[in-house]
Amino acid sequence: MNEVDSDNMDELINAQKELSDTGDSFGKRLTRILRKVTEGLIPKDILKQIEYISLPFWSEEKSTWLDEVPIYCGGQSEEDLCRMLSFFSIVGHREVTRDFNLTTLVCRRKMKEIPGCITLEKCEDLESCPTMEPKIQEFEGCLRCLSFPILKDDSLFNRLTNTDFLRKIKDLVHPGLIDAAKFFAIATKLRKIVAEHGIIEKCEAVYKSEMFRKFNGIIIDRFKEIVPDQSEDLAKFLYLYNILNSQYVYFLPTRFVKTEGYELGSGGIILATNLSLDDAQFCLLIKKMLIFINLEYGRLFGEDWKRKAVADTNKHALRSAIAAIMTRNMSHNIGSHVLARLSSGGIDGNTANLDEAGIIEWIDKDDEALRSEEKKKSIIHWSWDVQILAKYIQQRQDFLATISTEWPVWSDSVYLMKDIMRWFLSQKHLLNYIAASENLQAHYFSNEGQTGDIRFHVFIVPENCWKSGPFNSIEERKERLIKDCRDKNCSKALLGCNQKSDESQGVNPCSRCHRVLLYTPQSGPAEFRLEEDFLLSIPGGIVGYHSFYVILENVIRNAAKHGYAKGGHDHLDIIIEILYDPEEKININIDNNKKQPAFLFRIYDNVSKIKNDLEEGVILLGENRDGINDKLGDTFIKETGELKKENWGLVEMKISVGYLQKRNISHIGGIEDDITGNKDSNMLQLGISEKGSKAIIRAVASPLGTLGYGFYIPKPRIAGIFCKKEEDRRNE
Amino acid sequence: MSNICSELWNNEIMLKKSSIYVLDDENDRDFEFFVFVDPENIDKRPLFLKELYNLVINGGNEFSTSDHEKELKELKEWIGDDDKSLINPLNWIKIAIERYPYRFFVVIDRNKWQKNGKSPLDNDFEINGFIKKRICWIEKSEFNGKFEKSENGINYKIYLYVKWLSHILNSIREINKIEKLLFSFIEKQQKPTFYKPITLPKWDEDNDKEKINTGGKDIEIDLSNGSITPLNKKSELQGNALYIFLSRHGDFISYDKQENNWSTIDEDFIDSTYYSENLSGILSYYTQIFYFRENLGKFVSKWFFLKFAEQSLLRIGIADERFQEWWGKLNKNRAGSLFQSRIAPVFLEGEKLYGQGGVPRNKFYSIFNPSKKSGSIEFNVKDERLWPSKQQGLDLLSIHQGILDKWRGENKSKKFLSRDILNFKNNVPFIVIDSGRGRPDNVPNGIKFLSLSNIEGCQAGSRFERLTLLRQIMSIIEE
Repeated sequence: MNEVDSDNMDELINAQKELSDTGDSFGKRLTRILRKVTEGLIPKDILKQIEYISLPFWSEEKSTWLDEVPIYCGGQSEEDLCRMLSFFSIVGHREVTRDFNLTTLVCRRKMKEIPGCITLEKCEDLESCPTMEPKIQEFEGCLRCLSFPILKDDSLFNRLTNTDFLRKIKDLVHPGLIDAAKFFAIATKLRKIVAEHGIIEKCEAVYKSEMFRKFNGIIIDRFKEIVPDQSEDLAKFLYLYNILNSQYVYFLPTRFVKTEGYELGSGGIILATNLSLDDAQFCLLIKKMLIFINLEYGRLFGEDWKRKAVADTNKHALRSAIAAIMTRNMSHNIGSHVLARLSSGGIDGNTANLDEAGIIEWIDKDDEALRSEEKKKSIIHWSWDVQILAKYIQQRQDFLATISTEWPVWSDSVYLMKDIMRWFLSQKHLLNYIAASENLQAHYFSNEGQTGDIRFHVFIVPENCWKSGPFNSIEERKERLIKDCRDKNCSKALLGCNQKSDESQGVNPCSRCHRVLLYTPQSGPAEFRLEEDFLLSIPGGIVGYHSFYVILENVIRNAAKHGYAKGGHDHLDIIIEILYDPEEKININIDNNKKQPAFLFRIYDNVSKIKNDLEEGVILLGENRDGINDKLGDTFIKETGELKKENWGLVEMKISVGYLQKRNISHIGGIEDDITGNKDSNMLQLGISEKGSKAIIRAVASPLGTLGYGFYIPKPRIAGIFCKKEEDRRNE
Repeated sequence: MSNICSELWNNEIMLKKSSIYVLDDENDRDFEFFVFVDPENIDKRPLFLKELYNLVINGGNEFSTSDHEKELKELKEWIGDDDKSLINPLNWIKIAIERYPYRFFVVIDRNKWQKNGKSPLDNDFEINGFIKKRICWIEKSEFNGKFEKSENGINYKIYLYVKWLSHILNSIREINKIEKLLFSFIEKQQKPTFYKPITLPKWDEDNDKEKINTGGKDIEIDLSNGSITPLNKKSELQGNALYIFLSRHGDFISYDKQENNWSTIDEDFIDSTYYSENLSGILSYYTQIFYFRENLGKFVSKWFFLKFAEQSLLRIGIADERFQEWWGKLNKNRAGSLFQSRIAPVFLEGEKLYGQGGVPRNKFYSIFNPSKKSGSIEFNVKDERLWPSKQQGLDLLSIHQGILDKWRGENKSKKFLSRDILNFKNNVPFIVIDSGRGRPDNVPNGIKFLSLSNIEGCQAGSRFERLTLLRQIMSIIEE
């Protein structure tokens, strides 16, 4: 056997070259390579009777199981078999070199020996194969379990005999292979055996694998109790064992990569046959296969493996990372800034170092600044504001619990101003302290000429004004929006308000139909038009509001720390702009490739400068990948699943917007264009593209020339009417 | 008659602009309203409708497809593993229906859904009580006709909502012969006393100033034609109308502390009043009510009052010790006021059991005893007028997972709780589980879930925003 190695390797490499440019489909090409591999290894009469050798694979790019699975088969057409096994997968690969192990599991089943056991036989010769490092012993612990067919579990039995399942795979399989009636008979027999032997609790095998998710929509996890490290591969094997009508099933998981607490197979081969190979033949086959896999399979699928592995194996890591980042940021934004000052400052900062008697004395005494009666009132208000903040924090905690576990599948239709912003603007303590380190505080609508305050503005902006600017101040921006509320001919209001006749009466129509939802001047009452408020679709109801609050908090913190603190400003403006889109041109492309109408938002401030020829500032897209969009487009975990400890504020915004858009976790954990979209198009262009935008969030230049963030929030969906399309069209 | 599905698909783009989506994917379910249209070709029936038909027309002795039987058997951890009697089409429907929003419609052809000469569209059709309450049936020709007449999707949405309100009245509340819902406003010139932080723009005060003296413009929803119109004069008592009283800073029935009794604005309206709320600026929708009332021509205004009417008609119970405790601290006046809006703390089996909040000092509460087959919900009402006995009952119950756990004791696993919930549904059609610790593992199968914060977020001082709670709950779907 030793001499086979180098020869075969050369042979394979030559075969690769030979076959790589044939122009054949991928499946055909690989099948031919496989034929080469097995040629001469197994007597031809045996080879012909091998039912198939498969290397099915998941395509991350296509987000589907490849129909073109490479297969070797005897006596059946490639196409049939390619389709047949497209449902099965052994996936996952990670470029980790440490603790590299190769595990081979050889299992045989002899149908004639039923009632009986699956017998695991260790292939003695394997140990002499130096590259294989077999770890058969890992499976010895489950030998007892396997001594009963896996169908001991009723629920599993039902799954395997589920006609819906069989129906689902009907189109994928060779008609002769899965014979429902035959299979059912076998399964019934097995169940009888199970009933006779009883159920061993710890062997109540329940599968968990992508394969089962695909077919039955059922996630199975208890198999891990039996073989924690290789449960998925074992589950796959056992699944095949039961589903295939073959006497022998050889399953060769390969290239196991062991990381901390997690083992992952990089691929494998299933060999199902009714003929027995002797151990020498089998070992040789395995070895050649492994060489092939390492050389060819990895080369062909390496990138896909990697992407799939990142998506699959990092799913848990992503969720943990999300929980860690959101919790840490809450601890920072609310804990370190808001709660720290609230707890140490006493009542409105006046009672920090006073004991009970001191506080009573302070209350009773009329100061020049504050009379005793006013103090009493302020204490009551202060405590009410604490209650309001406590409720806010409680909701935030629930939001964190939600975002760390199961994301809600339902959405609530809520008003931006009357529901979401109302509650945020009610947070006096939060707004007073979130940027107190930078000497910023809440804007009080009762104060005149306030400085050092945070002022919120919310505008609905017509498309022709979306890109206008730069403006010197937010007041200028607002005035322009009011003036530009109609098109140039004055014939049609851009913001849906036809008031041109008023102009002849000396009334500026735009003053009546503009959509300045909130403008906070330095002095005097706020300007607002709540009648123009609109509904958003927020996952998870009130708790979900906090995804929006997280964005606001981060924008405030970043602006305060990186912009306002540098000086030159007497207040901080936070501006929320929403593109006016009555025609519903803006859509997002959600994960099942469906378009959903959405609002295009832009949040910016007046102090966060963007770098230009004249002044320093942040970079949106950097040559050295150091721009804000580069950071947004970077994944927040390493390949090992470890959390990256950088840019957590940006990551938190990305996660929150992803939550609002109901993106799946893998998408949020994606990179570059997945997050910030194709850089050749702006967010508006992406939104109106044929398929809708897949982008989550992007750093943009604001109308003030400052840093802003563009993102989408879905519009509510009121009614869904399920009507069979095809049928009725045919009737027509 | 034109084919309704063809019509809808042909107008897909127009409908989408009104936020109505025509679907061919059963898994796309995140909507406020969900409508199944039974296909012309019954072989093409979606699986849910197939089982529903099997249940309501064929009696549901066997499953329409063995897949459903298997699906039910394979539910993770439930008593059906042991008790085969639970494996039946009704239970499958009871569980599967929670995948859809509560506003759930099935559009059928009367001739194709016949049993003993009747169809589910008939009031006297024999049907399981839960199914009757949870499904709003619509005759296909009516659904089609309304679409043809509605010039745009907006009118169609209003039609659907009005249809749903009629369903609540007829099938859930079992109140017949009601043709109109009347919003009657009571204006009390009283300065608002609620607290609003100075960081909040004064948009509510503005509203107070401008709108408080505009008089009591009442609003009428005509269920027969879907019109929502202002009334020029104060509404008078009508036999075919049901009243929703909205009073600003006052109560329809108020408590006189000195006299120690309850008095009402108008005794004659007691029996016809199904909801009254003491409005205050502390409520997040306070501004909306008056703005929408003044602008009733707009769609958003009509939609708001339809939502308000819906929430007014559904009686809510909350069995959560934190809500019970909050309620328990309310004084008699406030509790009585909330009681008039048909919301009550509910105690599972008894006030002092299972870690529940104890007897409220105001003594307004109810007890849910699922072991009693009839009269399982008992109300403790100090004055019959506050919640008349013939109106007593619950349509929606939110119950804390922790109470269920304690109630079940050693058998608190999902296995047993799932069966319990199936039974609860016989008493209360809309049930949600709440918890403050994320979604616990043992939340029963076939029930909607809501975080505690979503409920507590509806508490505003001593008020409770039923509208906000219902807004959320009516949209929940399960995977």
